[in-house]
Amino acid sequence: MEQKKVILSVRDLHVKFCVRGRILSAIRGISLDLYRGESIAIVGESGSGKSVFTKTFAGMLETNGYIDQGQLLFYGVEGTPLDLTALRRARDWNQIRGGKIATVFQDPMTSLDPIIPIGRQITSVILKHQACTKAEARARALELMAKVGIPEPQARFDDYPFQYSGGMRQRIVIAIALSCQPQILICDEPTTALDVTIQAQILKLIKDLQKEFGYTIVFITHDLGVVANIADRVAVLYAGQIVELGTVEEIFYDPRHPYTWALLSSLPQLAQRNTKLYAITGTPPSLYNRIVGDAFAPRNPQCMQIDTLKEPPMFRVTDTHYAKTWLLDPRAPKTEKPELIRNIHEKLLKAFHI
Amino acid sequence: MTKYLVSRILRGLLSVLIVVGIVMMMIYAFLDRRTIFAEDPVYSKQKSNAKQVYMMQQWERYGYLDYVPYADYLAQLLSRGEIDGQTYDAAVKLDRTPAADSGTTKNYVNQFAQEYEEKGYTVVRLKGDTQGNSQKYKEGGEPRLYAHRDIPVLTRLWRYITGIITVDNIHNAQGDVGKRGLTFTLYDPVYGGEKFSPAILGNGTTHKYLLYFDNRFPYIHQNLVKVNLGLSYSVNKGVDVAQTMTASQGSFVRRQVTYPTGVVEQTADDLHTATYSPGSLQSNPLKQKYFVDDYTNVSTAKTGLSRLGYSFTIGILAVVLAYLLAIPLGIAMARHKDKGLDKLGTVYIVFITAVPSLAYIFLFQSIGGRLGLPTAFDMENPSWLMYILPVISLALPATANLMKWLRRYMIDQMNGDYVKFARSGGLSEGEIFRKHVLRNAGIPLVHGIPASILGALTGAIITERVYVVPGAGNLLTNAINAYDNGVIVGVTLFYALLTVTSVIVGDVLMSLADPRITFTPKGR
Repeated sequence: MEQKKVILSVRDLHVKFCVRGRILSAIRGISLDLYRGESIAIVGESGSGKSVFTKTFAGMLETNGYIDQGQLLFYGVEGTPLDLTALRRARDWNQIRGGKIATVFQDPMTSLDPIIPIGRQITSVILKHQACTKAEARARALELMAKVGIPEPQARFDDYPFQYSGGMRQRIVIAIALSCQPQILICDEPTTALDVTIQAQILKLIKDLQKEFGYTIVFITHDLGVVANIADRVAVLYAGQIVELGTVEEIFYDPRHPYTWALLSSLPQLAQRNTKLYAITGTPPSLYNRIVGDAFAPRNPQCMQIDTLKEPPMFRVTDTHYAKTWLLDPRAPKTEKPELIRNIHEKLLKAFHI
Repeated sequence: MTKYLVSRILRGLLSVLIVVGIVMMMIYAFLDRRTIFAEDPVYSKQKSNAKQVYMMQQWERYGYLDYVPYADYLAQLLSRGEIDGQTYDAAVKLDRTPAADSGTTKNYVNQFAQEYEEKGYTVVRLKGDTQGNSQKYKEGGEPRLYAHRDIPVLTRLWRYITGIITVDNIHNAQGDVGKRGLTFTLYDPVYGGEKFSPAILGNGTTHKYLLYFDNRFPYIHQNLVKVNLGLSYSVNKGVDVAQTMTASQGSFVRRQVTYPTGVVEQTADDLHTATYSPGSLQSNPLKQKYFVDDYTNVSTAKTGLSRLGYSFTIGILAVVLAYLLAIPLGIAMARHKDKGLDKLGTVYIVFITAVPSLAYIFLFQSIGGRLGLPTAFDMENPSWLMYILPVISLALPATANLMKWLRRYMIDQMNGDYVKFARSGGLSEGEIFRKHVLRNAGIPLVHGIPASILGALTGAIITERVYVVPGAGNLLTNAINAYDNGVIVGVTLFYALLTVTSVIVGDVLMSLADPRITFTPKGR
């Protein structure tokens, strides 16, 4: 990670929701730098705040959610960095969304307007952001359709979404997201709703187009297989905080946080024949309450007394690798990662018979 | 597309047929047929045997049974030349009891009974009803002999269906009418023969005018094809339901008319409606002044619209007003969900839904009355003002309903993933609304438009009653109250056709609005 330019800098972000008169803290102080051209995966179980975190970049928080404190400095514009948290008016957001930061959603079946032809859906976004004529927009849309792998785009330009398959629709969604050359592409579980063969194609497409367009990928997923495939860096989220951040090799081969251990242990590929699948016990903490100590402590088999009293700081492992656990404190007893995820590389190779 | 539509229309017609069949089965087979006399003043005046005969005659007229009086039978024999006039006169005399009949009479009575019993008829002999011990018959107490046979409901249904549409032809008029045929003229004689007004006239047809122009909407009229929905018994006695619904009402309108004899007069007679009435010219010297042939049966021109006309005028204005109000309001409610306007709209919707329609119609009537608007319909002095209150009374509840659904459809669409995706692509809220949400939310509403337009034809019972509108809305309830079975069946058929049509047209419209719906089989 040498000399990468920061595109978006998240500084101590807190996001809260007002739910039936109660305050829910969904994001509890996240700081993260995104670099130009990298792919970062954000992993974590349901409710850990993955989606909410990325929604703040695109100003797409639900109406009852708000950014309580923190900064989102966007370096994608000319001049001084733009603090996205200061954007209030919808019109300002419309300049960022689509043009600078685009999103690909989970379900391609419902992401497109069912009654508008595919071509028009692409051109409407192009016309919105770029000063060009309709004919130019059409040419650009056709070019994009070809790039995302739609055969005979000319013939399919005026087709409706229902005439496309799920994989084809996701390609169109990607084409629309890329139509204005965004600097950040947020992929909110873009392959979850697709079958496995199509998943691989879509991932490859996103990676290939990254080389051409040079965007930063923020990839939300809970599929660690996808993470290994696409990410340069991984941020593990738990209860609205990043608990471990590192390159994909560091996270897979040298994980430090007990939660990351637990996540890796849950990989079904690692399970031995005739043994039970590993599952993390318990449930995540309620985010309505103030959390004392380490949020993972109640579910942590290696829990120490300090975990229940005081929130751990981010410990630096290497320049690129950080983890938020007291186990890294010099005073902590030396704890090895569980046996199951040692030599994970060989085990995975064996599991896949490579 | 065409193939699908044809099959839809055929299936629609079949279901109409089934509905009418069920209704006919219920009212003709399961309901006591005496109930049709409930509102008949003539019936209550009839006495003794005459009453029985009157009932038979009416039942025959309204299709319940075939009825053959003995005298008709003899007259038939006479006309075929099987008996002579003397025998007829002797045979037709019935005595008080069968035993007392003369030999000739006995002979023909037996022949009559035998012949009709073989055909499945029931032969009835009513004894003479005398006053006390005297030989004098009571009023209507003369002895009677007749045969009758019920018509099965399925036969009735078949006769009804096949008789719905009749086409006039030159062999319809009975008797000697001279040369039968059609003539085409460019100068309608009714207007004096000088004004350019094409018309087709028939001789031998039931109607004299088969096609003509006049100054009433829709300006071109025809009498060639007639729709018969069923005879009314008491609501509008002896007149077909279709006629009841479409005939103009109100006071006579006098215009200058040139009669066939050349007499020019200011009159309300509408010569275009002339129908054939055999022997009417001969028997009525008064008519000889005006007419030259037996087409003397004319109806009169009136100022007002028909029942259907009034109902449709009010209904269609209400529908237009409702859509004009509900679309912007529904959109505004959806866009400002949970804000003041939305809450206000919800209060209105709840009010209209919760309060019985009678209550708020009276409320609107009294508010309108205070404001000086006419609260009752007056056909004699028509003005556009009198339409205001009925139209508002009809439109406001329809508005609430439309608002409710439009708001709901829009909010459903606003939560759609494609809206989120469009937003993430940088489209503004306004663009998202116009380009995506409105079009998607409109699809289910489009389906309802034909139903609301055609529904205007059925009229509105309560509104029309409150504002004394002479519309078609109360026709069915009146008919039910008066046991007017012909009208019930006719109106049922009309409503069923309207419903089927509006559903089919709605589906066609929806397929135009939504590319996902096609009438062609799958596969591209």
